[in-house]
Amino acid sequence: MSEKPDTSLNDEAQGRSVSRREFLKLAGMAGAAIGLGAGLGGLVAACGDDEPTATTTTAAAGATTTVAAGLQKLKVGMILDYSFPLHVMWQHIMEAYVPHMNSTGGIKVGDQAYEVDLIMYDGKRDSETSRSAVQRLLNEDKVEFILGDESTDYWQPLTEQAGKLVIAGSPSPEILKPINKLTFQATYLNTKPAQIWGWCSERWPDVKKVMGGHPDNLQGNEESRKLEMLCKAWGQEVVKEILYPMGTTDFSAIATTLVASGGEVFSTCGGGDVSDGQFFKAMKQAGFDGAKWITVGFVPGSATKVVPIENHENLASSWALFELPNPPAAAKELYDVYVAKFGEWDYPAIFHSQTLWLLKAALEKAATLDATKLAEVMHAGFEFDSPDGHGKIIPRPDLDNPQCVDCIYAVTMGVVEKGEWKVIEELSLDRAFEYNKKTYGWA
Amino acid sequence: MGRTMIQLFVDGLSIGVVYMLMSSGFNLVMAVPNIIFIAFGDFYMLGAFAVWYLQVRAGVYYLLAVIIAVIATAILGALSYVLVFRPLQFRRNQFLTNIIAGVGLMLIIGQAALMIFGTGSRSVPPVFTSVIEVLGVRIPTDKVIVIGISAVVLLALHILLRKTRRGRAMRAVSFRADVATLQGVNADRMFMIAVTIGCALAGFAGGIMAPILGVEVSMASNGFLVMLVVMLGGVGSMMGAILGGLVFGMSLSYGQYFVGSGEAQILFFAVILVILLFKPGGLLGKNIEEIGRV
Repeated sequence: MSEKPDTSLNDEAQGRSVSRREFLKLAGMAGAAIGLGAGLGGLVAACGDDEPTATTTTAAAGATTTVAAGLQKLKVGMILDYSFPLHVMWQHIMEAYVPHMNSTGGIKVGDQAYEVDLIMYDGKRDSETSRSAVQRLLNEDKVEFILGDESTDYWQPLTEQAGKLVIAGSPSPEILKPINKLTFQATYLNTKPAQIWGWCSERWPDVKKVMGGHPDNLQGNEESRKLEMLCKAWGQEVVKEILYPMGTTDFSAIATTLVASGGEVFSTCGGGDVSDGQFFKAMKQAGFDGAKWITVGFVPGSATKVVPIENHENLASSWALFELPNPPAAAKELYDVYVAKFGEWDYPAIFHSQTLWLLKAALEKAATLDATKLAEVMHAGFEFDSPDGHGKIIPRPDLDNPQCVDCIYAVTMGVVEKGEWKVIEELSLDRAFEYNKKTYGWA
Repeated sequence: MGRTMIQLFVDGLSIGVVYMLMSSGFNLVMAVPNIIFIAFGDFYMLGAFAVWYLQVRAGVYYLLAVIIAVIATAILGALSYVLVFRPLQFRRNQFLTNIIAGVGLMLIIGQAALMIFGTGSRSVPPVFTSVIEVLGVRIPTDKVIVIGISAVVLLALHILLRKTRRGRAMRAVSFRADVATLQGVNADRMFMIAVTIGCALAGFAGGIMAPILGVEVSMASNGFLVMLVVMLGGVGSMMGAILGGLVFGMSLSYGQYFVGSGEAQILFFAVILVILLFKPGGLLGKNIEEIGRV
C-alpha cells in the first residue's frame, strides 16, 4: 500500500506548535532586541572597567619550530591569537625567521649558542584561554622565556610568580608598572605615536583642530585615548572623534560628519589596511584634502594596494624601513628570509616580532639565561638593532617606573606630496626620546 | 548645515542600496515555504570574493567577473536548495530540522571561506575614482553607478514577478502552492528558481560593492542585518525591502551624525523593535498571514 502523499504544502500545515511566520516574527523581534541589548551593553561596558570574561575554552595545540639535532635548545613560549590577522602575520614571521636564526648560529649567550625552540599557543586574547596556555608553557613545556601579546595583562601574575621573564607586544600600561619585575614591552606602540605627532606638530605648528576616527574595539579605543593625549600635549584640540562599529565598510556618512566638523588634520588607525584605506578614500570623496597624521607608521606599498596614492595626499607618518631605498641590515635580512619562505612580501606587520629581537639582543648582552640577572641588565637600558629600526629600552617615569621597560625606535619621517611618498627626515633616538618626554610629561 | 543634511541623505542612500538589493533577494528566498535561509549573507560574501579572485588574481575584466560571480552564486544557491533544503522541506516536524540545516549550511560556507581566504581583508581596484559634485553635494561616481544599476535590477525583478507568466507562477506557489500545483505549476521548480534568483541577487550585491567596500569573510554577517531590514520593510513586500533598506541607510547616516556611530545602530534596532510590536508584518507588510507572498 503506497504512503499517502503529504499535501500540506502551505504554512497552514497541521500539528506544529510554532508556525514559520510566528517564528519569523519572534526572530525579528529577538534580533532587534539582541542588537539593542548588545548595543546598550556596549555603552554600559564602555563606562566601566573592562573585566576579562571567563570562558571554558582551552589552549589549542602548540606549534613548535624544528631544532637541529645535537645543539643546545632554548625553549621560548609565545602566546598569540590565531584568528587575529596581525598575530597571524607575527606567526608567519616567526616561522620564517626562527629557523633561519637557528641555522646561522642561533642566540649566543656567553660562550654557548642556543637554538630557539619556539612553542606557540593560541590564547585567543581571552583571559581564561591565555592563562591556560601560559600555565601549559610553564608547567608542561617548561619554557625559559615567553613572548606575549595583548593578553599579557591576564597572565602576567603567573609568570612573575614563576620567575619567568616576559617580553610583550602590548600597549597596556599595566604590564609596565614597577610591581612587575620581569616584564618588558618591545614594540613601538607606546612611543612611536609621540614621535610622529611631535614631529608633525613642530613642522606644522599652525594646525590646531584635529578630527579622528577609530574602530570601536580595544585597540581603537586605546588609539582614540592616545590621540586625545597627544593633542593635549602638543596644543591641539580634538574637534570630532568618531568610534565606528566593527565591521563598518561604508565610511561615507562618517566622513561627511568629520568634514563638517571643520577639522584641519585627520588621524585614523587600528582598522586594518583595507578599512583604513577605505576611510581615507571616503574622506577624500567627502572633499577633505587636508593633512593626515598617522601615528602607527605608514607602509606605502601595502596602503596603495588598497586605494590609490592620491587618497593619501598630505599624509605624514614614519615610513616602513622595508620600503626605503637602502633598508637597514636587520630589515633586509627579515625581508629576504620571509620572501624565501613564503614566496612574496605581503607586507606583514612586524611590530609584535620585536619581542624576539629584543629577547635575542638582551640575552646576547647579558650573557645569562637567569631571568633575574637578565632583567637587571635590561632595566639598566641598552640599544639594539631590529627590523623596525635601531631601538633602545627606556624607563617609563609616567608609570612610576624608573627602570627601563619600554622601547623607542629611530624612525624615518615622510610625507605624501603630489602623489609621491617623500622622505623628509630621520629621527634619532635622542629626538625620539625628547618627543616622548614632552608627550608623557617625563621630568 | 543644509548642505551637510543633503550630503547625509546621499550617503544614507549609498549605504542603503546594497541592503535594498539583498533584501529583495531575501524576500524571494523567504517565499519558499519551510526553509530558513540563514546562510543568505554568505552568498553576498562569496559574490564579493569571487569578483576579487577573478579580477585581482585571475586578471578578469571587472564586468565579466561580476557576471561570473552572479552565475556562481546562483548555481551554489540552487545546489543548496536541492541538496540541503528540499529533502527536508515537507517532512513532518521539519521546523527545527530546517533551522539546523540553515545554520549548518552557514557554518560550512563560512568556515570554508575562512580556510581558503583567511581572516584578512582584501581590496578590489576601484572602477571609477572620480566624484560628482552638484551644488556642493558630493557623491562618488562608483556609487552613482551602483545606485543606477541596482534600480535597473530591482525594476527588472519587479517586472519579472508582476508581468511575466513565470513571475506570476512564483507568486502563486508562494501564496498557495497546493492550489498552484492544481493549475499545472511545478511548485518545486518555482521554489528553486526563487532561491536561485535570491542568491544571485546577494552575489550581485557583493560583486558590485566589492570595489567600494572591500572584501572580507566577516561581511557575511550582513545577512543578519538584511533579515532585520526585511522584517522592518515587510516580509514578502518588494517595496518594503526597498523602504527597509532606505530606512536602514538613513538611520545609520543621520544617526551617526546626531548621536554617534555605535548609537545609530542601537537606534535602528530600537526602531525595528517598536515597529514590530505594533505592526508585526513590517512597514508595508499587509498581513501576517500573507508572509511568503512576493
